[in-house]
Amino acid sequence: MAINSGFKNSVKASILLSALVLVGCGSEGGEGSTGANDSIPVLDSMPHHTSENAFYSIPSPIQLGQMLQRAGATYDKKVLNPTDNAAKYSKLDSKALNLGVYGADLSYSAVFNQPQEVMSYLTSSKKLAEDLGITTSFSASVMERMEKNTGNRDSLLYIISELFLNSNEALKENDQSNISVLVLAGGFIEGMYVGTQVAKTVKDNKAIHARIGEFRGSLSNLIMLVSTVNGSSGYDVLADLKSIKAIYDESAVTEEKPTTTVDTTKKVMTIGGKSNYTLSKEQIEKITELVATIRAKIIKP
Amino acid sequence: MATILRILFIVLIVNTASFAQCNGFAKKSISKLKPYLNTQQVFSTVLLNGDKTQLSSTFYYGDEYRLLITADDKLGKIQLNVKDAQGVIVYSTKAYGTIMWDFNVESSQDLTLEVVTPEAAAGSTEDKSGCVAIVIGFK
Repeated sequence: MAINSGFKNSVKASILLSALVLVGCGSEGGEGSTGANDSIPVLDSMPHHTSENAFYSIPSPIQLGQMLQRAGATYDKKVLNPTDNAAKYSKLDSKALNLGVYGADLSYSAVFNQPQEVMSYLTSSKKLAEDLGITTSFSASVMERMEKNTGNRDSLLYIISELFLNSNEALKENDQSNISVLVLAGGFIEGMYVGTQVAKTVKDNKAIHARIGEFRGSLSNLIMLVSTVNGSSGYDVLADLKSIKAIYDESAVTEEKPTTTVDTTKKVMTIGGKSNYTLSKEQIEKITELVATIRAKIIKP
Repeated sequence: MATILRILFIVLIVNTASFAQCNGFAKKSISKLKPYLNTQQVFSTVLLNGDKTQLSSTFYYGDEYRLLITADDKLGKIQLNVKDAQGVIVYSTKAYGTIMWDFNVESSQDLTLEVVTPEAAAGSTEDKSGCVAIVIGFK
């Protein structure tokens, strides 16, 4: 049922109602209506789900950083977006994507315990967040908490998670879901970029490449997320994400039917089964090159 | 015309309020994820009795997860179905007021979490609606 639930659906219903009322009004006056299509752009700013009431989740930049660290990645400051670029972005899309990029660089620095870089990337993130109208998340008290905890990795990761969650929610509450999706997209692309670049410098990079292969499902979810919003005035992030997915699609995924082991008393579940997301060396090289090209386009001031 | 504008205004205010209300409802549950870190995304929606919503995510080998699903009391007890990449249900929970499960995967998997609200009571003439929020933590 289209009308059964969700903010998006209810807004759709409102738009439909509005259109019907306007059409009715136009008919009474004997003039042609402006049509329901006039109302459609309002849908640009909807929560992150589709008309079927489905949501899509992607890993946070902290999660990506931790996965890479466990896979043997090292910290390499040279691959990150220079912090002084923050003042050079003028377009809204560019600011949103690069807030995601800086959030990922901040997270990567925090995961690898680099306090100086953490504070630099925090300042750059704050600048772009404020430009986007997100003022409460990066408040003076949050900045102070970050400074006080620079030596405590766990606390930093917790505060950063909170900070970006609140920023994301603030954008949604402000009818800027399209912007929040771009922030998420920028963060995911930067995570992929850092992973693929660091893999080139690590002697045993098999585990990192395996992780990059496993990002396939999250990339598909991100594509679904980006598909739910419009509003990109210049750069077409959806087309770029789809071009990365096309390389993944050159090989098939094999998945065994999962089994579950459940402790209903403790409410703990283990989901078994095997899956194979392995990519060929050529696919890894193509993904590395393409992600670098897309990321260069994003960070270009 | 003034009446029409008033109707439009009221409809939009109600929608905005229900979104804000559900968002607030979702954010309250975030603190329950500790010591897990949130994934920086919150998923919330308004459901009716007998309705469902779903969340697709890749769950990665090596990460431990905490899943928290909360629903308005007036909706009744909710149920969770875990579906594999082909949409086949691999596990269904009992009905709970709040669902909080810790879990991990033996290999990275694309899964869908489907939340189902109970049907309205027999003889009930009114569908009840309420917020449902899904948050995921990891460590």
